[in-house]
Amino acid sequence: MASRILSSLPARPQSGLLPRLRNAFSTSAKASQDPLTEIISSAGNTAKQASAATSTRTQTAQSQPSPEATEGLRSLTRRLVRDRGDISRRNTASRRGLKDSIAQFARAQDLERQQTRRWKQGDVYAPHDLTPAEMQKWRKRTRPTMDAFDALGMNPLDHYKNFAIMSEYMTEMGRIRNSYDTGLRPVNQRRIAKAIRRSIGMGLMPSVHKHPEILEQTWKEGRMRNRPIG
Amino acid sequence: MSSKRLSPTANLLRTSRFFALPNPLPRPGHHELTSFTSVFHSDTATLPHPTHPALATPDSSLSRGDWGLKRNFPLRSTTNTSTPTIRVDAVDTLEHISAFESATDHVLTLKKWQDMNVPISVAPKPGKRASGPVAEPLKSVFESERHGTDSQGRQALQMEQRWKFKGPWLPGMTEGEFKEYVEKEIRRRKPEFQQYLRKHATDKKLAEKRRQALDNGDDPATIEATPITEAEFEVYVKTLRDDVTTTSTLSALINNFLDLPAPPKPPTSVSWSKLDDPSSNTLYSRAAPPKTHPSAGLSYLRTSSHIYNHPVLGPQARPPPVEARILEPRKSATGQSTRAKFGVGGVVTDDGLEASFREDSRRMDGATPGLSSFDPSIPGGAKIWVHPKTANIDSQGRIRLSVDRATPSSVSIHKGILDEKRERPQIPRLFNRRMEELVSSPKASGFKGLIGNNRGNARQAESSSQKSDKKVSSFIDELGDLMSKDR
Repeated sequence: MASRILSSLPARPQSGLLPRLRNAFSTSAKASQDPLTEIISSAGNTAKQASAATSTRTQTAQSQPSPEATEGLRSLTRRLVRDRGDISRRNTASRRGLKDSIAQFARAQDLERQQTRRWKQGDVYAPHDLTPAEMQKWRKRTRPTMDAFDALGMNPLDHYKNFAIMSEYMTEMGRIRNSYDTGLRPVNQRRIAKAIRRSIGMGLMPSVHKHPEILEQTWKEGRMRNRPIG
Repeated sequence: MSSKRLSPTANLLRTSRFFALPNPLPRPGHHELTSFTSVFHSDTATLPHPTHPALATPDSSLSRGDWGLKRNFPLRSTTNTSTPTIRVDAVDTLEHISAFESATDHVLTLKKWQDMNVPISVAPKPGKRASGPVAEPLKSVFESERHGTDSQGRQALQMEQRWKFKGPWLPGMTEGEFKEYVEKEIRRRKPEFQQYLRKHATDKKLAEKRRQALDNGDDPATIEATPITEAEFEVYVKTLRDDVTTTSTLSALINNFLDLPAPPKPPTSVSWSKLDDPSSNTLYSRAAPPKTHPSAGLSYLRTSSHIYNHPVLGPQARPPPVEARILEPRKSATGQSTRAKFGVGGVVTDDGLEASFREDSRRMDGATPGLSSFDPSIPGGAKIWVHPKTANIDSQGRIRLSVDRATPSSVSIHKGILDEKRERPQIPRLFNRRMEELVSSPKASGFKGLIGNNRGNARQAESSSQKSDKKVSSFIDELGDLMSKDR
């Protein structure tokens, strides 16, 4: 993405100036009348177009030298002096172009982040599934409808040493989550609470934050998620 | 006949819509086992498959709000639509209200699907690649060998090809579910299974005796079945239990008794190296049997091997492409997938092409705005033309559709851009000559809209195609004349 922004930027105005000056010294009668207009018109274009234009002009200059080149040169220097202000103005314009494209990119990303539903193959959608009201619902985390420990036939108390399981039922600040969030039935909620207290008491887990290894993993995942795209 | 014997009230109820309403299917994905951190869900989202029947009513009844149910439905919410179809959640509730909602989402999805002419094929066997040089051709779900209507295929079908079973699919159960199933369902049926085993042992004993009689030169038909003694039965059960392999007689008996889908065959010494070898696996060893008939009633086509005939250009290699919505571009701000997600006729599918650094694929991406990254400037959202390829229904009842990107020429043919200056489609020589004659002929009448349908953004296309449209119309007139002359 970054490369796209760069390529869409206007070329730096000074870069193509020297070869164009050189062309102006020896140019044909027809060309001598309009090198300036050419320079001015091409300055705003992209670097690619400018270089293409230069190469063609170089060819014509070599084939047809002209006596009126000096006249062209004089007018060119006059214009250059006058246009010194133009260059700085063009610089600000290019900066504005960069700013615009960054703003455009940020807007696209903003809008894309509002599409919260992660589509899966085989989903069926109707127009209302694409509406903001519907996307708002996919943003929120809902409580599980199934008791995870019952489903797996596990007793939470047997896993007090498994900090990966314990951390899932703790908040960022190390508090035990409510059964409304965890979706566990009362018996299993009491068991997981006891398991967390037990492992903290044994010194297997910190009491005011999640286990460091879990923190490191989430940090890495977050870095992957927020990485610049492109 | 039976209706005559019933009372008028019973008869009325029997023929009513109320009695015809089946029980709703379980909500898909409702009891999905998910981690606490990854539960994102919307209760009003369109479900991947319908759970309630969609009801329709004739216009005369619709205007009165009569849907053939317990009470009439309000006119404002049922008539203010072009597709008046509803699904009824509850015919009656404690609040004396019939709960209903619009069923347009699935009704229109079905309609769009049938417009695309995609037949439903059998899901590829587990471990089998869908593409590649050794790809097996996909078979329709309506093939007779799967249907089991012929007498020979029936035996094999009962074991392997069936999709409906009374028992659950054990590999898909969680540990907790399995424990519950054993404790609640299996324990209850223990005496029944003992009876079943006893019958099996008796049959086996009789067969053994008859074989011995045959060996001794006696008539096996004279041998009568003798009831098995308790001691004999216990010995037989012990021998059965000694065999602990999955191919043992006992596990086959259990499978038959509980009517379970056939378990995966254990790999032989040859196939150890390739566990995914489809020959060693039954159909439902990796994926659960489908919840519905494998076609899910979406399409009754048996094949898509028919040729689409263009009125001017003749037979085409592929049917006209369909426009798909780009739901997720290749590089999204939030997703991590390298595949774009398309919505084809309301069904979400993965892009057939994975992101690559190959020049041609990049160029193809560049030709479609909004494909490589999200572009908010496209009015109405980014679209792409695709050819629906194959489809099957997976065990969760979700539609697995695969698509190919449409070529630019097929898109322009579909749009009716037959401009000579631009991309010229391959026209058979015979047609070419005929066209020249026809263009010079004075006959030309309006037949617009026959070739392609200039939908949506084809405004530019229209001007360039007008000329060719004229040719087409006169050509078709001429053809009609010729045909009538022949008669």
